[in-house]
Amino acid sequence: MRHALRIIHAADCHLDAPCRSLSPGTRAAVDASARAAFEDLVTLAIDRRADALVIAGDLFDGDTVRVATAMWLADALERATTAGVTVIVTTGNHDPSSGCAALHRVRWPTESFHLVGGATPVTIEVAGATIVAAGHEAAREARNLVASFPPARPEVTTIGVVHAHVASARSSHDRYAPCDAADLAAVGYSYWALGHVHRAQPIAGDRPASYSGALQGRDFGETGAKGALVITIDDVGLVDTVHVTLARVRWEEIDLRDALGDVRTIHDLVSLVEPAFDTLRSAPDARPDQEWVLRVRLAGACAIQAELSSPDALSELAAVLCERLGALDVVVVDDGIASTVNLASYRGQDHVLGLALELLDVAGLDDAALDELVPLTLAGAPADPIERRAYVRGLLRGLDGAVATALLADGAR
Amino acid sequence: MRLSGWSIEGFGGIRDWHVDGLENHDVIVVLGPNESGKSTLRAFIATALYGFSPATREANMHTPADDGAFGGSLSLAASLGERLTVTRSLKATPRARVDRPTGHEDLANRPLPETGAIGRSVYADLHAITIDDLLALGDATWRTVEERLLTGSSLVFLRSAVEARAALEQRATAIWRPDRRGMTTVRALDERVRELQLAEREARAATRRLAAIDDELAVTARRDETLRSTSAATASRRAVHDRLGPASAAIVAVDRARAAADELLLHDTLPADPGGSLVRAREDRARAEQVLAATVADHRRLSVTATTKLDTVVLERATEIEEVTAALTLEDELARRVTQARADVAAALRERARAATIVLGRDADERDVESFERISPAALRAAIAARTATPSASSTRGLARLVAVLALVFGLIAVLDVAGRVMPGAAAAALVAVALLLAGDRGTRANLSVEASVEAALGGLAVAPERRAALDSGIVAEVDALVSAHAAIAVTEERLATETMLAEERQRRRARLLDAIGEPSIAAASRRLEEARSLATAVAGARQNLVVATARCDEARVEHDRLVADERAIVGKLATVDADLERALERIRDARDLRAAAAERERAAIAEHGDLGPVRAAMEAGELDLPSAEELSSLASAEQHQMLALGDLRQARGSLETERRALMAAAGPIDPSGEIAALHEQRSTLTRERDRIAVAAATIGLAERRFREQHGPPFLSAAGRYLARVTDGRYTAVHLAADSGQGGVPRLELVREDGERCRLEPPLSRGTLEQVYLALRLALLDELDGTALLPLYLDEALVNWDDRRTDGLISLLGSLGQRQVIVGTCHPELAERLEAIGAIVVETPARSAPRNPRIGSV
Repeated sequence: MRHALRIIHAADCHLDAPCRSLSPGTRAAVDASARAAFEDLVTLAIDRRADALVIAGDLFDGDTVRVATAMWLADALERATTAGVTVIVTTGNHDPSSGCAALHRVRWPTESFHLVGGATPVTIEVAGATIVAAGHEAAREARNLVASFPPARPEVTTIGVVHAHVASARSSHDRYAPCDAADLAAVGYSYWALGHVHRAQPIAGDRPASYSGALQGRDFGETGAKGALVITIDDVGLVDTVHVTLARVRWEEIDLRDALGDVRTIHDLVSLVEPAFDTLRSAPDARPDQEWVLRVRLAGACAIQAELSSPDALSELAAVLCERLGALDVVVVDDGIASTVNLASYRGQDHVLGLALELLDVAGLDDAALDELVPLTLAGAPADPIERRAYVRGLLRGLDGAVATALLADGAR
Repeated sequence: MRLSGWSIEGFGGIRDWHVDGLENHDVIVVLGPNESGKSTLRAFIATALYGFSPATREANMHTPADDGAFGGSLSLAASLGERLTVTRSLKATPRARVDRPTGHEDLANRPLPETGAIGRSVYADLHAITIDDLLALGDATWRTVEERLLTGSSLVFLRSAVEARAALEQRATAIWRPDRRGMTTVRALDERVRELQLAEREARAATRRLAAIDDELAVTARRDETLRSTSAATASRRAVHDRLGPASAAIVAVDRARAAADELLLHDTLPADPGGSLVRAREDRARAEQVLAATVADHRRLSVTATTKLDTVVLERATEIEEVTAALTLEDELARRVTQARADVAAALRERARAATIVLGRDADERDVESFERISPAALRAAIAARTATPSASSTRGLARLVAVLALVFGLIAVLDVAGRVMPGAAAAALVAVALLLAGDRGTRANLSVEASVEAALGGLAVAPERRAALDSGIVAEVDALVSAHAAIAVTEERLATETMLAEERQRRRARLLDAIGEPSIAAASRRLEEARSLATAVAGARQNLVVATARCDEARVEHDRLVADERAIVGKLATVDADLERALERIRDARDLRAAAAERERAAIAEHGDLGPVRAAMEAGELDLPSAEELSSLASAEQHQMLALGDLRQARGSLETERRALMAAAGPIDPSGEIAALHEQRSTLTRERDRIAVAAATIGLAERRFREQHGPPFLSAAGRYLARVTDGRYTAVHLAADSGQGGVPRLELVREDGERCRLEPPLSRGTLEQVYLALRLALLDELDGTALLPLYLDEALVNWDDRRTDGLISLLGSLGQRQVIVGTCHPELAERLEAIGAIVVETPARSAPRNPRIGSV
């Protein structure tokens, strides 16, 4: 009979990572939230009587760590190990064992603590179960670390801990320590605690494996609830996975692209945002004390396009939304707000607007037409022709409306 | 739009000119001589359509000279038949309204809305032309041609593609727009990013430095600990050395000496110090004998001295000498008391003399002594009191005598006064005098008794007559003082006698003593007594010394004798070990010396270091690891070095900790990093937005270019056709020259009937040039003003045209269809020719006012 086991699975804490915001208040709040999330992670492990707390890589964001962080981190981990929780930390691409000075700056607990920085898997016995872990030795780990993990013994609950990019994961992250679901299944582990992808998600396959996601989001690329997984494996090997939101500050996006057709006033626009935010706020994974950093994306035909055409207007709208929603910060983005012109009536006509619309339509499909269309002096275009075309095609979204707005006389818009 | 009529209240030289009913005529001829108002009408129509320009009466060249009403109305028929009237006037401010069947609208000085996209300048250039206008097209017209006709934007719902593109490019540039500091948004962002990057680098460097400091501090702490440990070990070894080293060395030295002594004695059967005691006893005996001899000699010397010099006389009277010596002070006191007694006697004598002088009027003498003894103060006091109570006999007697004398005088006068008028008074006086004389006698008798009592109380004291004459109660005190002073003399004289006797007795006793011992003074006697006593003490001491020395000498002799016996026994023993007795004795002496030295050293060591037992035990157990001298020196050097190193280390540690505190207080790199990332994102958004607008502008530019390429400009074809009609086929087409630049004034070419091309420049005639530009205008009117169809006004434009081409034009004007043409001319022949094709002729009114001298144009 196997031993039942409970672990807290976290990863990608990225301690001391910068918060991408222009608001000093948001940056300070995220910094405080990141620390509180880690403290809550330890408290979670203690409260749930976890056998182990595993952190699957990228505990640190880089090679430096603030002295204050090093101090409270040591205290937090000491609290966990003193309470009988075994703590296992593996290294990731952000804090590889060969190049991360931060690893040497922390006074790690002397007992019940394991820092795994080598690519060769280390086996740790915890509460009758086995936890196998490996770490990144270098910042750009190209090897398949999972391939070197030993197979599990059938009678022993075995958990793998690694910072790796699983091919089937939804992610835009770099493909360090790449592997696929078959590699994970091959060793027959009860559970794989994965790190690297900041969005919590299970890996489809024959064996349970999950990314716990980041502990704290730090920009709009890390939206959604952030926290850790409580993994409970019973004596027959069944795995129960529960995500617990630990980050107090949460980044979210309200996408109103192509949803502005009925907007006639700013009030209409605010009225569109509010129910969308209510949906977010009432989500089961939202904390009661959740603080929100919101990005509202606007695009498509809109009757108040002229009112929204300046950055100042968007900033003012963001301030209004921030106050009304009680959010920590709100950013409003113009992703291509266009006027409500009936473009179809101008297409195919023998005038400059008809010709311009035709050019845009063709450029969307034809590279040569696109190259002819685009001026040489684009500030943000990549040098690579393929990337440049992709960039420009991105710019073409909603551009027909913008061109029509520019060409049409006031009365015709 | 067609002209229906006008009603001019006042405009330039025209006043109250009202014309209507023109809307059905395609061509209107305004006929009149020069300066009759044809050009003024052209200006009025333009003003009616577009407003006053300039908009003040002072500046406008058409302000009536009589300062009367300035303005009028223009009646028009719109393209759909709608009639409207625009009325304008200029007083202080321009006013205008347009009346339509559906209502009216105030225009202020705005253009009539029906003018549409045709601006005033284009209208002036295309629709209201003079002969001078026919030499070219205005810049505004060409710009309109460029922006609208050449780019496919001629449709009314479209803006100029050039304008649209320019607006987009302006928006793109606006993203880079300089702010109030003259800095573009992106540049400001970049600068902020650079500032933050610098702050981030500094913060990262500070973080690294902090880490390095922590490492250094850890190393320092370890070194500190090592140094402390080493230093403690060194100090411990030094302490052991300092505490036990000397004792250990002493023990070693003692042991060595004893070992050497034992070596010399070969075996331990002999006493520890054979011979030594004998030597010491011999020495002791010699010293005792020497002391005894000296003591004996001293004793003898003192004894002789004592025999000859001991002052027995003095010694025998020593007690007396001491008493006299002690009494010297008493003698001085007695002498002082005698002196005082003498002074007291003298004072008493002086007091008696003073008192006697008061009472007796002189000093007292022997005669008075008896009186002093008889005087009774109490009796005197009583007698004096009685004397005071008795009336004064002398005074009574004196008064009586005076009255009697007066009575006698008056009696005599009475005898002698014949008239006898004073007789009763004199008699009375005489009687009184007699009575008084009798009373005086009784007083005298009483006084005599009192005086006797006084004399008795005074005991016969010879009181001075003056005092006696005025005896009063004060005499009692004075007599009392005199008697007291006399008594005090007796007392002090008695005391003087006593004190004098005592002093003299002392002096006599001292004299007797000095005489007995033969010394002149008691001080000399004391010195002599002291010397005698000293000598006696020395003799006694010598005697005592002699007793002690004798005893000691006896003891030394006994000890010596015992040791001599022992020595003899030892020598006898050694003689059996060493054949050479002398060498044996020598060895014994050496051994003895060594052993004595060892014992002495051991005593000294114990005195200095205490009990040597534990040290000796540790030495014997091998537990005492004392550093050698070299090692000790090395330890001292190391210790000094360690102390210096510790000092340096602590200083360095202090500096590091200070720096660490400063670095801890500084901001970290996270905040700037976050802001940098956000700024990059913002910059990226701005860049993307700018690129998006740039692509939009480029799209419009490309569309415009494509349109140019795909479509030749239709107005040029039309212009060619018009020109062919005017020139009767001499010129067939108007083209843009190949070198016409975009955005500027196009260069035009004419195509002649033979296919040759020629530029619009000499040798082309002026008339032909005017015909080309009129043809161009007609074509442009078709393109640009196809909706509003504003009337065309040709103001004396055909002066340079020959009849044939004028006919060609007349024919053409007659076929323009909806657009009305107004021809202003002073030539009736031209009017007639136009009338022939259906034109209506409107003659200008008679000149009503002098022309406004101000110069300007429509």
